[in-house]
Amino acid sequence: MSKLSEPVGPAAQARRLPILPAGTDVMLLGLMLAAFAAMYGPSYVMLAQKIWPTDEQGHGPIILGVALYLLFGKRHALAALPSRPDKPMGFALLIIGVTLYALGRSQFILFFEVFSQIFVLAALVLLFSGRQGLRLVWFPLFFLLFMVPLPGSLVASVTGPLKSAVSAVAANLLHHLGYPVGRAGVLLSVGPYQLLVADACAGLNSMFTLEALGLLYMNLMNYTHAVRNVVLALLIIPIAFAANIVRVIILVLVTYHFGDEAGQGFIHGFAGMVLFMVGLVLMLFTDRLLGLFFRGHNQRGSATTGSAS
Amino acid sequence: MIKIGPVRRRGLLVAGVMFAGAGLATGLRPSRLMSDTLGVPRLEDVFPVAFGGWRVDTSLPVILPAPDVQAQLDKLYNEVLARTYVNADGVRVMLSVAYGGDQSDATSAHRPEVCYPAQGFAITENFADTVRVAGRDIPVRRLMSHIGGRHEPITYWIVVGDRIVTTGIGQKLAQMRFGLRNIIADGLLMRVSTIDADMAHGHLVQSAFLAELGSALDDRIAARVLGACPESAAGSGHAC
Repeated sequence: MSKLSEPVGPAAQARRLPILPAGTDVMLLGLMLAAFAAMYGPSYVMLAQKIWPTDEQGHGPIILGVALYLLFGKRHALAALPSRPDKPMGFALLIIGVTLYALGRSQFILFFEVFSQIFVLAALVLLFSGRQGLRLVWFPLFFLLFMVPLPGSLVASVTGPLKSAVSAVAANLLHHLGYPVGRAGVLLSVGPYQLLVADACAGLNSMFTLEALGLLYMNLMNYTHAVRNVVLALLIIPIAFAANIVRVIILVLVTYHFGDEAGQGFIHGFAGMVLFMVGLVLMLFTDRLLGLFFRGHNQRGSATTGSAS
Repeated sequence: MIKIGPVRRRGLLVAGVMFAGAGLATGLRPSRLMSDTLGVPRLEDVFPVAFGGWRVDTSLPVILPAPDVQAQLDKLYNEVLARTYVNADGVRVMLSVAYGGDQSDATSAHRPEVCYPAQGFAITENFADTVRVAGRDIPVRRLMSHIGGRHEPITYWIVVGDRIVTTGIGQKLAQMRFGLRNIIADGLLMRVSTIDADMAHGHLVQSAFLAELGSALDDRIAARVLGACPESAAGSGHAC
């Protein structure tokens, strides 16, 4: 919505599409926004205060922003669709969403609470536009999945083995390069130093964030070949794994050559950046390779790129 | 005059459901802290320094957790007790008890198979078992862990409110069962471990230690450490 505050000259304004599509029922829209705010306003306050400031969920507001931006960009296309509400499906989703929300919000099950908004939003689209509308905005709604905090026990049970595997591969590689590296579980020792591969470094979250970026990339590129998209989405998992290994290796090398403080200071954050750069480069490279295999099936879809945004 | 067409009527219905959901969520939120009614147990006082054949080993220096670990502990628990007991044969058992008054999401007790690996330990065994304490079978979780050459068998259980849980899901369900009755359950993590490369032997020593400890606790605290009697056992005349 930040677009609103930009100072725009009258000439530029004329070329822009109006903020609300023509014929919008402002009163109805206001009522829906108020109802949505009554449910999720407190949730977002809590997310902003307690969840987003943590290392694991720092990507939350970005995911939300991207989803809102994509939804906002589709508003005219959505309004232009003929309204064919799917009431049974819509109300069913609404009830499921509201129940999940009430249970999650009251019993502190963050996963239910945040996840439920996807159901509620999908229900609203079905009830006021229809299936075609849902087909139009499915991606931003699906994208919201990435801001759902996973249950702690699930994260822990996946992170543990992941951390061990990342540490093992990193230690092996460094060992073959001739470094004095030892490993006990997730505890790496290099020369006089000991490094504990911490949860935040381990990669479930980085895997999630990279996956989100990958899906966003495919969406923006307007890839339509389903198999290609699924293959790329699956390949992002080993890519994120590899990027995590690179990150751990960088930290070990920095610690070994420049000491403990360098490893824990600025470089620690920097290694996080490297992780994403390595991940993104590998992803783009993989995408090019897939492009060779799927050539002919999959054009950029340039005919359909003329969306309202 | 506002015109109400079919679309707006649907809108009113939808908004009604959504506002009702928001109200329900607020209404169902538990507000009574169990720890306010029952009091926070003073772990230092309720666990005896000597019982049966065991006494607190004062010959070992107390090892304090690393500052970052301590910060995490302070955030999660109201009371933490860590002691090493020794018997006449020189066998040492480490007892670790953590109590948290608020078992809602972010502050619920952490299970050892989660926090041991976070400290660099590898968990090689993890299975359910029971220990006979104070005349009844307490469901427990048995683990085997090691870091480098240090092998540490572990026995633990978690009490949420008055129920013993040994799985993450069970923990969440117990917390919800209280939550829907407007009670924020408290939680207690009981963990004993020994340094022993022989897992079965280590677990056996721990069972013996727990049996003696259980009978040395006074009734009021025993109910919170061992959980309440299950309904089925309460009527059967067992010492419970």
